[in-house]
Amino acid sequence: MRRRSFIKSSLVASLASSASFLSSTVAAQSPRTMLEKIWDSHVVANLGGGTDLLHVDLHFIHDLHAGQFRALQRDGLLVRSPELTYAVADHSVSTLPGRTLESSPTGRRLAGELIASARALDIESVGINDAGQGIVHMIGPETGLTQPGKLIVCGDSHTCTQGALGSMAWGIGSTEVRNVLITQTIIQKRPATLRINYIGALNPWVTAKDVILFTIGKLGADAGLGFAVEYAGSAIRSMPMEERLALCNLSIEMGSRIGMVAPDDSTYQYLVGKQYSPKEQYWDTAMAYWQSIPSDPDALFDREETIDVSEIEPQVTWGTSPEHVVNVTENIPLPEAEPANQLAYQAALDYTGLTAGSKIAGTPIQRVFIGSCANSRIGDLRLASEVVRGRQVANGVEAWVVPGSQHVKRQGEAEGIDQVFTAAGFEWREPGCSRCLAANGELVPPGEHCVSTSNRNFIGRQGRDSITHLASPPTAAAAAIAGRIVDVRRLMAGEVA
Amino acid sequence: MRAFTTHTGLAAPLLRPNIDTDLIIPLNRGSRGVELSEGQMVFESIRYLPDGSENPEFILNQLPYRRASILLAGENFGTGSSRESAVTGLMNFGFSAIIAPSFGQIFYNNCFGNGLMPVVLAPEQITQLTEQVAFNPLVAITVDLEEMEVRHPELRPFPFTVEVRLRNKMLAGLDDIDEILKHTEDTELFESSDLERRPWIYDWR
Repeated sequence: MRRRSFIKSSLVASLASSASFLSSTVAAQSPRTMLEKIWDSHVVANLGGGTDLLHVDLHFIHDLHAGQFRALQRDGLLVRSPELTYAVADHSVSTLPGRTLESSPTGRRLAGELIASARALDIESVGINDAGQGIVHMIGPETGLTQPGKLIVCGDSHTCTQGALGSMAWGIGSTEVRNVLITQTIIQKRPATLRINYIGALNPWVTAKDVILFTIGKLGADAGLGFAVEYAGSAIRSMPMEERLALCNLSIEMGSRIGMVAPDDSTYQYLVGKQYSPKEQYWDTAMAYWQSIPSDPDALFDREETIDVSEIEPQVTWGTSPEHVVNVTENIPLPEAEPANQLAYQAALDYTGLTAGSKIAGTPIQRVFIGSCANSRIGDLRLASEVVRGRQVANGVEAWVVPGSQHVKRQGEAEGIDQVFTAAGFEWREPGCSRCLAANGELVPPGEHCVSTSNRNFIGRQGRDSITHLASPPTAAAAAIAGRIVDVRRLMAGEVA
Repeated sequence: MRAFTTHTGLAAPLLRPNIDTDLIIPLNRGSRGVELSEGQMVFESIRYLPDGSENPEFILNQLPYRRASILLAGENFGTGSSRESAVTGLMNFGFSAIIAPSFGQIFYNNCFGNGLMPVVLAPEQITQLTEQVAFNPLVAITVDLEEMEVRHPELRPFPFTVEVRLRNKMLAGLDDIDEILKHTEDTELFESSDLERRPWIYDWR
């Protein structure tokens, strides 16, 4: 923790006004959830019917929206707040080792344009091989830009990831991106609140990814429609920040645009010393503000659920929605056994080619992708590397590790993790969104099965007629070794040939 | 933005749940070697065979459904990615309205930014409409935002609800920006007091 710095009179005045702001908006009101507190403090104008005009504290913009700057210029409009904007090249860039902007034609066009425009407009940015480059939802937390209580938007649905630090963050469409660039505000209807309480302790080799996949399987891919989710409970408090980020990442796969974890000591420790954490002179006031953010003890949520994580086993998806998920030990469901979902399940099985009622374990696979904003942090790579250490990728399997950022890549190399992977037969690649959605052309070929640590297994997501099995980093690593979907716990116990 | 007041047209059913925006439109429009229009790329992965010809099994390739301008859909339509091309692609194909029990939220918002009318009806009502369409697909359905109802000659009208603000926006063909720009002073007031309360938001570079 930083020490209280020398306080000048102007800062005393600022602290006093902050304190009164905090007390007037926090203590004097009836109990509020974290969502309500952050929402209320960002209202620029009330538009009626539960809809407000909100101030955007931080707008991340990535390369697929590079054209927005050109459009603004064409229309004679300015970016209102360059100092509240941050540009990142991630979706279209190649992840080939040693890549440059030239490695992907789309990347060259889009990423190049994004960074050139940002620089011309005095917007902070990270270009393709800058030391700080990576997937946008990695960069926010890594740089300390993502902070409790900030309202953050980005033209990417996995912006919910950043809620792990207690920010209120969500994905927006292109028109909204444009409007934020012009006005630094956004019109939004206040969501309902859903709190999911996680109790119990995680079993070995079960990760936050398994927890969120299990949650989506249990509650449904549309459970969160109209809700902002708060993840709470002892199991969440025990999770390190990286695991919280992985958890929040899949909020949108449950239908919730916003997924949040209340800030606590883990959060504050995480933020200490980051590049863009609050400066020395602001730190104490920021801390006081952050500490006021968690939901009041008697706050009411529109809906609450409780999940015991000690029941959760490694998860794998078998179909074309994140809700098509089972324990790795289970059988693929029989469509007839689920009348409400029968047609959807049958259609999913028709696409993936799996057999209803058969075990998910044993499904042969051809590709493994360890990467994406869901699971490409150093903790993910460390855990996966423990699975592959001393083992070999199975014949016929192409296995990639795509670190989520240059920072993670460097750290992995410093720890020798890259060599553990390459010795086993993995490719260790450059940071980018890569095979999660193949916007850069890095496709999974038709008919091939890919075990992926990403967040979507939609039809054709990783390439036309490709089949995606979502899983955690250790489960993906185990699949690479076995050449088929396996229970990582059995592999580590020496029970898998 | 194109206004939406009332529309009458043929309907086509595509009822599977959780139709995601990746299915609605792929990111890469040049994947077939030649850049196709957004309308041509809608439902690409299930609309075309590997050789590029139309998949005769796909309903929107069949007459009269290929002339449909109203889509009857399943729950959570438009889930997934925030890509706004899912909306513009559907409009480019020829759709003016989508009727579903629920929508992905980002997609729903994006609809109101472009003039594609998303209508929420109960599953049983959509089933009734689908049955009528199966019986006679040449009978047109009306989506009326002014009266806030969906009408079919053989059925009682189905009322639907839309937020007042969104309805007004659609009827007038307004963009959000028109409304936001009325609050420029409010934004300036907010920022000047916020700058004192939370200076670290603004001073970080």
